Amino acid sequence: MGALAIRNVRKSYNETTHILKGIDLEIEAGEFLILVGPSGCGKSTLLGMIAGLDHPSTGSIHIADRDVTNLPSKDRDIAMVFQSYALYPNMSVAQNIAFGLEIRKVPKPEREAAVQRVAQMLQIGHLLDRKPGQLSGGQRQRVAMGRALARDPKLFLFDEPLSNLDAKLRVEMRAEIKQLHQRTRTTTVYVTHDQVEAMTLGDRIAVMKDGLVQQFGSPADIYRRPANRFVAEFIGSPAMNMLDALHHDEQLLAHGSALELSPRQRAALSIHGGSELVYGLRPEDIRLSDQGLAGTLTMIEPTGPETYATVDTAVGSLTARIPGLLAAQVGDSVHLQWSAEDAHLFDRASGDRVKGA
Amino acid sequence: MNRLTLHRLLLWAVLLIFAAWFLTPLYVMVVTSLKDAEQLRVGHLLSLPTAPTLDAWSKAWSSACTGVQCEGLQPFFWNSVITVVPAVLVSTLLGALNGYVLSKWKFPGSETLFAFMLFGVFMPMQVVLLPMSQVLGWLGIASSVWGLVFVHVLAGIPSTTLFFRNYYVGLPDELIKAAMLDGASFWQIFCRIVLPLSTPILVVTLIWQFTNIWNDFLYGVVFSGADSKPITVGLNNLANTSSSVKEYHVDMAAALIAAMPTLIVYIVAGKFFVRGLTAGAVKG
Repeated sequence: MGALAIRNVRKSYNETTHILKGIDLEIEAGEFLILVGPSGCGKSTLLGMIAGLDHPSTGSIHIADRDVTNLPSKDRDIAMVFQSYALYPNMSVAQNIAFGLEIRKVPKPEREAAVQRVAQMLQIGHLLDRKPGQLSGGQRQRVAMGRALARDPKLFLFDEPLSNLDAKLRVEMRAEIKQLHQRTRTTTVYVTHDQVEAMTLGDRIAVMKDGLVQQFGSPADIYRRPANRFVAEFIGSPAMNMLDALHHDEQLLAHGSALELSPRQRAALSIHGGSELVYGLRPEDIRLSDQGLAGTLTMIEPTGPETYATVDTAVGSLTARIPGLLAAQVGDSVHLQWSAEDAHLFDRASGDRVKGA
Repeated sequence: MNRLTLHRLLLWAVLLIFAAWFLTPLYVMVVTSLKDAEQLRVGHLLSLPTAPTLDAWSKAWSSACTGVQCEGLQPFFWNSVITVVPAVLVSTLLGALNGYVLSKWKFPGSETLFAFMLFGVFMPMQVVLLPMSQVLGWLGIASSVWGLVFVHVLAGIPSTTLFFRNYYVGLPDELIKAAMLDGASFWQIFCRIVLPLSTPILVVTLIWQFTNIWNDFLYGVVFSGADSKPITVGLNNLANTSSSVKEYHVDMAAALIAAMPTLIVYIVAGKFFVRGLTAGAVKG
């Protein structure tokens, strides 16, 4: 059994509103689990249950092989970093970090040692005497992490910790959280709605929507083999191109044009049966070329290292990710190429990935 | 520029007129209290005392007659102090506790309970007089200082709860959650985190309760015994005790003595009062 196991957890209010509809997750000690999804998907509710701030209607939660479903937060050996940091405004940074230890009656010399250890780890030694009100956003974030680290918990919980920071600081703190985890190897659950944070930080990602886990896997899994249309579109920026297509006589047609299929996809489709499909292509899998699918450039978005080119084609509008800058103009005729095995096939009705494709 | 100065002048003139208008009664009270009977008879209401004296003050404090007794306001003043101090402290503390529970430890029905408590804020005091005296009788604290304290605490809880509850709603819930994860209990969170963050609303509530209870006359006259009458009752008795000549200077001094504590509280803590009323949420 793992460091954290969530078994068939459900949460409903008044028998009518179902926030979580049966969640099963399990991670090993030292792993970094990401709960990602759009707002309202239940990820924060689930985190609250792991923290003991909320309770499941049914199901159980286990931390380090111990059923904690009905234990209060303080007996779960966990620490949490909140989105608003939730530092105690009336206490200095050092008191904030030591508060949890003080409540647990840890002797003063040990408390001070813990504060020093954490302060050094996070480079906040010079801030220890200040009040939270005198700190910048990034500093508060560090202190909040320090407070969580001081107790050396079994499980670390993060609730969208970076969403109150500006873009540059967010990237810095993201890297710091990653380094911190690599150093301490504390099992971590991290809630975010940002797919970049999910991909960069996670060992395992649970993509959630409408109270259900859509896919649970490694970042590579999630990115390369999205389990359904929602995951495919949610992870990756710009989003995956989606073309409605029809499977007919061993052929896949989008707006009457044939789309190339790999032998494996052909085999998978013949087993699949259904004819209404969605053909997905990641923007980086599409190349500009001298031949292939013809189209007209309708938008060019340079980001510096790469350029997003939107092209109107016979099968629909496609966005391609081109390395470097693109020496072309809107209205130019271009050709697009991709290899068939890079394409993703989904059933249009259910949204699920076609098995074996 | 000219228009601007004209505007300023007008503004100042209006403000000064209003200030004078509102300060005149206080002025009359102060100058009258510094006169003696002779100056009172000869001088004009607004004229300054020709030979200022504190005799009226000392008489009002220690020897003026309030009915058959002639010990001045002194005993009433101390009655008020020993009523007001515990009543203010207990009602404020209970209000803080109620506000903490009603905002951060909500339970099924807590909103309804709060709504019912709000009735207490607007309930006319006269309504409770008869049932309350019966309750005080059952409890055996009728006509005592403790009975009066009890009544003031009960009457104060709705408004103190309202103050604290509305202030604590602005405290981020995440603070409480963070403290729970840190292992703090209900009382530890209250004492270590919530109460230290309550200074502005504590000041507001203390001032509010102090002035309300100090200035109360109705409960004081109904529920107090012979030896527990508060200063408002004493002042009333003093002013109504007739002698051959109406001693306005003593009445004025007595009124000023009765008003002094609330005046001082407002002057000393008035800044905090306004600051507390306008204070926003605590930033973490």
